[in-house]
Amino acid sequence: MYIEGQIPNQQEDEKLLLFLRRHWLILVAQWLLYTVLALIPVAIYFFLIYAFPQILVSKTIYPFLFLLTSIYYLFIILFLFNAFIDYHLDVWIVTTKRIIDIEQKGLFNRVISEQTVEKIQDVSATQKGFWRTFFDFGTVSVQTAGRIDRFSFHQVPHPFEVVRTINGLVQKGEENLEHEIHEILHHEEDKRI
Amino acid sequence: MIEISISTYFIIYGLALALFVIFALINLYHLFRFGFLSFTSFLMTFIFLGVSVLLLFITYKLGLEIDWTQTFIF
Repeated sequence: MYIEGQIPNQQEDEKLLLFLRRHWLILVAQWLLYTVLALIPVAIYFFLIYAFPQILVSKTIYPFLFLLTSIYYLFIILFLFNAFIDYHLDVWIVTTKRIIDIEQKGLFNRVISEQTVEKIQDVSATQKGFWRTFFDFGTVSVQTAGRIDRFSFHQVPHPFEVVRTINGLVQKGEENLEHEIHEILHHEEDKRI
Repeated sequence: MIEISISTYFIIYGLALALFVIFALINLYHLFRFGFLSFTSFLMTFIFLGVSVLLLFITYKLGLEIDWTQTFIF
């Protein structure tokens, strides 16, 4: 169990740079769909009032419809909550040392992948369509030299800024590595002298 | 002639309610076991539980007005 902003299995000197989830619009779109579904019993009720009013006063059919409506709305609420859980559990974390991809693919199916910054080869972002452009969210793809060769951050906000951040991290890592190599070579030279 | 009380609807309702409870518990388990806890996750959980209880209460209150002793006659 982690608190928001905490790094899973945090290493020494590891700092959090980005803690990403899908854009809020994705969750709102799913909720809108379920809200529309919630209006179906209301529509059916008004239809029955005008077309089959005898059903609403029936002592056997009305109780059945009543309980059915109750269960229908309970499951709508459940699906709304499930949509939030699905949104909340998909997380992409970028630290000074790693990128971590945590995705919940339905019930009892969770995938966690991580890769060190040194193994990142290429980072790109795509933003296709009106809604993605207007609300500034899209997909960030990270190419790595590992068993999992591609990490995808789906529907994240400000994808181009994410790319800049990761590229900056990779560049800093390369500069540090160059500096280390230079130090080692310098030290070797001093030893020979 | 067979007479079946409409209160047998409660059997189906009870089964559906049990399914709801099971899935609700599974969702809550996933959220607290694997999620990154925050004010938002607590708030959403509170709203979900609150609305569910409210809906069940409304069902109970409106259900009191129904005569559950009525029967189907086949």
